[in-house]
Amino acid sequence: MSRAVIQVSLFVAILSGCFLTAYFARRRRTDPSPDGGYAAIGERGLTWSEAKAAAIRWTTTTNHREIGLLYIAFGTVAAIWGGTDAMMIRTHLLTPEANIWTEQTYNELFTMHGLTMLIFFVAPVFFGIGNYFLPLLIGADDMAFPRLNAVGFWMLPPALLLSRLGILAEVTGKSLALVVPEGWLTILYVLREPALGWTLYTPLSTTMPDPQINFLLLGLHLSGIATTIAAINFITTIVYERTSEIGWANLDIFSWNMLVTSALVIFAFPLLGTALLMLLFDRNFGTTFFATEGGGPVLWQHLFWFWGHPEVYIIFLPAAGLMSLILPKFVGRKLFGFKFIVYSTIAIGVLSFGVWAHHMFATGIDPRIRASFMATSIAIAVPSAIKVFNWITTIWNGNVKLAAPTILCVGGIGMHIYGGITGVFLAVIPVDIIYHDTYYVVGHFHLIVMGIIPLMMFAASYYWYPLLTGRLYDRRLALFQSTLLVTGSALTFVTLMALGFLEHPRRYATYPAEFQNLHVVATVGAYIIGLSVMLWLYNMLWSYFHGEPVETADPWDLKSTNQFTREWQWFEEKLERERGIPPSEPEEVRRSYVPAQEEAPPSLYGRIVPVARTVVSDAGAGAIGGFVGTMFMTGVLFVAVAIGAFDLEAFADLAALVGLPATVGLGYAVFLVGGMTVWPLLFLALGEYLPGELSFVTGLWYSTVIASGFAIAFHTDQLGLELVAYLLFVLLSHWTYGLGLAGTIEYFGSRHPSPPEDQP
Amino acid sequence: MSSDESDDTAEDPPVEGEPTESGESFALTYVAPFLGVLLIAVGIPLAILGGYVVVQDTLNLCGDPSIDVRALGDEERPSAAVGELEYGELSQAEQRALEQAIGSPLEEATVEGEMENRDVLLEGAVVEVDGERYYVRIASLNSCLRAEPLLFPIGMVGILLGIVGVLTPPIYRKMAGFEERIQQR
Ligand code: HEM
Ligand SMILES: [Cu+2]
Repeated sequence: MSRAVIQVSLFVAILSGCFLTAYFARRRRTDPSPDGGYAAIGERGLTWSEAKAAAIRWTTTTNHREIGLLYIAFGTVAAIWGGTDAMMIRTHLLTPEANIWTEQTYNELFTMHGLTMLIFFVAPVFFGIGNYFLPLLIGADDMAFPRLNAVGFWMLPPALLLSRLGILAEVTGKSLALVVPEGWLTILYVLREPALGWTLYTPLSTTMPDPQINFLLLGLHLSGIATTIAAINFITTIVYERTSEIGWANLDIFSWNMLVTSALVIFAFPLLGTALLMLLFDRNFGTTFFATEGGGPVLWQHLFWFWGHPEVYIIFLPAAGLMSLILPKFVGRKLFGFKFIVYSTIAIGVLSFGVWAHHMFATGIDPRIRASFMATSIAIAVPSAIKVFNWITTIWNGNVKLAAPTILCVGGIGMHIYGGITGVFLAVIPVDIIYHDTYYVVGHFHLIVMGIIPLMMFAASYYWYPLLTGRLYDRRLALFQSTLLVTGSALTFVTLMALGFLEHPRRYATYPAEFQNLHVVATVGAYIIGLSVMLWLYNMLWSYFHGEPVETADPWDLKSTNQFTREWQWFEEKLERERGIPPSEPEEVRRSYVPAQEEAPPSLYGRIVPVARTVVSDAGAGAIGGFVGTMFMTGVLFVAVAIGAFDLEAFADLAALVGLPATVGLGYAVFLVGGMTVWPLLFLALGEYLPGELSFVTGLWYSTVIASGFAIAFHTDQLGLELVAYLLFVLLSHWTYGLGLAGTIEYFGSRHPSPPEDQP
Repeated sequence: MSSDESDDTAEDPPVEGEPTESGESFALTYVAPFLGVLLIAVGIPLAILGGYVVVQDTLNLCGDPSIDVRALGDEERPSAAVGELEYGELSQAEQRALEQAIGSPLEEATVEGEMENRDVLLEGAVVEVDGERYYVRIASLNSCLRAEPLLFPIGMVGILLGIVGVLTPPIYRKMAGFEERIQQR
């Protein structure tokens, strides 16, 4: 069966479903309704000139809110497209043989599913949300570069079409074949969706004849340019367009996440563009960047993953930002540990460029290099974990309200924990060697890419729906839909995880028959996800016309917890202005750049200084505390060495682990640096959760916990009594460390950070 | 999970004209549609399998394998285990497909007819055509789906029942409202 025809029909069916819903909803609204109805002003059919005016307005707009909506609409279309791919993948896997579609088709499906979702769905939707809300949140009139903003958006549709030209060509060919001779259409049949895997690994991608691959590379390149433009715009907006009341310390958490995300984009995407062009040249102009006798296929992997891993965080951080923004509103508490969430976001941003080779453990690169990437990959889990702990603590003792966003947030945290922890295991080389090409990986990353990213988008759509439309959505349907979504996602991807544990390889169109039952379960779960998405679409469209009109600008009762943030204040003003009057856009011309005012700090430098000062003082206190603690600890360990309970060779092993020559001195240096950076930072972040009113007690608890890790890592070959002595000294030395650390930090007064006000 | 103690919930205040007690309304608002969605999600795969078997058999959509070819450089050998085949050893259909594949930009073609060297080509073989050496493999067997056609009606019934389940809440609300109006008269 032609997959292209089926997919395009499905896609068209869904879109027409949307239009029909909107159409009927609109019609129903004009009918006089028995309950007195909601006055419909000017609800006639659309005239031609009106339609033309609307088309011109939407294609030429430079208003950040309108561009935001365009982004969101585009992302939704891409999601539906990639989602039908996903549904077809799961349908294909209903039977062990490749008998619904062929192997080739299957390879096409998972390739384009991955690319469409990662590139054309996630980032556009987040950029849309950012475009709409970020200026409102920071009190800016618009984005810094409104026209550039529009340009960035309008590159995306052609990019998507170029990338997926294969399927369009095929369907066009199939339909034209009904009227013209097949012979004329060969050119259309030649373009076929690439069947490479979204990672486009060479040498397959350089040798595969399919010309569509060239268009795909061009499309991806174009989308990369669009993404970079948007990122530049976000950074400039956040840095220069904040109102004077908003400094760095009370910049809201979502904007912080968008800022870090944009910084990642700027460092990662140009590299992707370059690599794509190199691949394009290899394919068409005889260069040998990635040829076996040239730069080598592994070069591609390095370049690709140097973009690819940061990309993972580019799509995750905005979701984390939404979580940190929305969750507190529904549990009635301020975000716990605001400052440390920001720090951890920045830490993730920096670290994410240092872990790329964990995708290449199976390529046989130098084991010493591999080991250091293993270390960094495990380390990057720490800031992510800090976020999770902070979210959980935010819920703790909160006044939790039952609403769709709550369910999505809690479900998202849950699945993110599973996705994250399975990822830590994957970062361990021997585990990865076994699982890297199994469904374990598919389960792991979908628990993130499905388990938290879209969930947060849905949560945001519900949370801001009143603001976007002036109406409320159907809340019962929303509760139902979000429960369904969480259930479906968990069912699907935990099942894939299970398949992975059975070492079922991924990216295969066929599989041994004994796996069929699990595959069927995963497929049913996927359909549940699909159905819940349809319910969401229905709710969004229908409520746009029939939802209860909002009576207040505070539908979530945010004022009562002092969380009535700026975007809602903006909404309040708007409601006041427009109550009863059809919305009108002022015809004013904006300046794209507001020069710094007298009272605002004059320069970027001037604005960064205060933040930098806090960071430095926190980090400084931590580092000094760490130093003092480590010195104490060294003393105890020295005694331990003297009586033979501790082997100095353990330090040499530490040096080797991070890729340095295995000498005791270097190992000790690493140890000292760690003692002054990682562990104090963790202490600062986690101290809140540990028992103890007094810092000293907390320090003792903390060091006890980390001592267990040390005991395992630094164990050489002590046995029997020696082992007892070893453990004793480990504990003792850590206690001295903890006391030294906590004491010093207490002295400098840095613990117990008070979260900055969300409110101006 | 109860939407009735609504002081501190962001959800609905008790809707006017909600005539029944909360337990019943919970079952009808959330449980019934949930089971409905489950039925649909199970019904779709059943219907697809059952329905596709019929379509496949009537339209002859399966059974002809396709091959793909790759031109080899001098002395190039895909792997040590790959054997050679003489062009003459190929069946008519195989020869036709091979030539078609060589001419096609996608380097693929379907074998329509007798396939004598199926087992060899499944592993891949080097074939010489007009002095050029090609590596020829089966790309897809296009194997046929075997399933009970009865699955189709079963699946469809499941889907329809499921849709009724999903629509329970609005139907129920309509009926409840209707009843109330009757009672008020
Ligand atoms: C309805 C939800 C989804 C389902 C049922 C689903 C299903 C799948 C399956 C079964 C595979 C593995 C194919 C194979 O290895 O043979 C896959 C791969 C993948 N999916 Fe999804 N997916 C869903 C949503 C998403 C989302 C939201 C994203 C990204 C934001 C995503 C990104 C990817 C990527 C990057 C791959 C890897 C493709 C490759 O190996 O080349 N998926 N998906
Ligand atoms: Cu990675």
